Amino acid sequence: MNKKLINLVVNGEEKEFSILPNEKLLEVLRREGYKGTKFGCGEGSCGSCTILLEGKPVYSCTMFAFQAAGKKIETIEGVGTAKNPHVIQRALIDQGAVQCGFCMPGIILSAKSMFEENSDPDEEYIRTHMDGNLCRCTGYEKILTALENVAAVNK
Amino acid sequence: MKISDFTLPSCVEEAQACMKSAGDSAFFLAGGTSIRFLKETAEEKVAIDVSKLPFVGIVNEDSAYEIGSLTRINDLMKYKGEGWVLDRVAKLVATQQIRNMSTVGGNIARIFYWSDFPVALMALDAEISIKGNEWFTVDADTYFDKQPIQKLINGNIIGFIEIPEITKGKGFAYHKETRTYSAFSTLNVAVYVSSDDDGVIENVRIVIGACTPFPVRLKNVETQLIGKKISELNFDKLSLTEVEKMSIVPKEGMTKIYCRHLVKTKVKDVLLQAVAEAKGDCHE
Repeated sequence: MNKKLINLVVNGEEKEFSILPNEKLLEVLRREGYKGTKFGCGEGSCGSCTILLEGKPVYSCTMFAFQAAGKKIETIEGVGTAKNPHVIQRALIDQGAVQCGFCMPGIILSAKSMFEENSDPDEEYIRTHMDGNLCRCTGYEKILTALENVAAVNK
Repeated sequence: MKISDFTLPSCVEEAQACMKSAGDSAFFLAGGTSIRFLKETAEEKVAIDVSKLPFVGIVNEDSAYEIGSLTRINDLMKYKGEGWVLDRVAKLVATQQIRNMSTVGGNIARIFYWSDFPVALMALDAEISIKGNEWFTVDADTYFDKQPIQKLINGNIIGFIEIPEITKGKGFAYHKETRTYSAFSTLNVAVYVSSDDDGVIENVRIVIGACTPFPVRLKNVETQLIGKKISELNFDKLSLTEVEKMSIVPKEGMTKIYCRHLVKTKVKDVLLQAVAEAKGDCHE
């Protein structure tokens, strides 16, 4: 099986990656150092591998790397920093909504795409938009409250 | 199946030429979310990624909607239009991420028992336009009578799907039974009803799936309803004996007895919703 070159725009930076045809996008991203994208279930259920593809959340574990060729990708590495967290990250921290943290990169990216689509989502909108991200620690209530707090600030 | 190579054609002719030259050793890939459900074999295939082809979007014309086969499920969910009903089906499909990846064409190219759109589109009497050497159209009953992938050979590719607008006198309802949120269906029921100006039922299509290998119409039940006045319908008198004779393949640990009972109950529920919409009681 021969490797092929594809171009991706990752967090605003155009890059060339050498990929195998059957490699998943998640495998390529992690190999290239984007380790914030987590390998959870590997079958498109848990959401910890969520990235934004052209601004929309998708499971990178279920997608072949070549399907992203030429497209814009956003990973958690492109969202805030430890010193200057994104408003969503700040809200999650303030609410105590993070426990083990494994699901958080996916949750933050899904939430980011939601607020870009609708700056003032109601509870139902948040629940529908976040339905592809599982968290096995928190029971979701604090995550939901944190996102509602972001929405309230946006009003 | 393993992917040994890939191509990214930018037009239909290029995609079809790739398929014709590769034959059985290639396949069309749209969203790609169902690949993991195919049998694991050592067989190697070339993926022809069709996502750049111009079969995207929803157009409303002549009281019908034409949907591009590569339209993502999430776009069906978010689309707003007079008499548009596929949002009711789309919102029940898996999760946000899957809805952003899956396409309506991919959902109907190969039927898995849990597939949502085959049941809904069969009830809506959809027409599926396929590009072979020339364009041709297949009605939903013919398209879904066996595994559709058998019709998608020699480079044939689904281009568009046409469904009616659900306007005055018409109703559509869809129910998906699952054990947990975003799980696979254990039963899908879709009902389409249309009535004339006097409220007499002209056409009704009742389709069930998930507990059957392929979508199935309840034609005897439909016959009992055609010609009846919507305002005088009595669902208690509806005979569902057809369900007793059907081949049922229960899922998720359900027994056949329970599954038949569930079908009868849900068919009546969904019929009530579709009829209510046709009467104008809850037209969206």
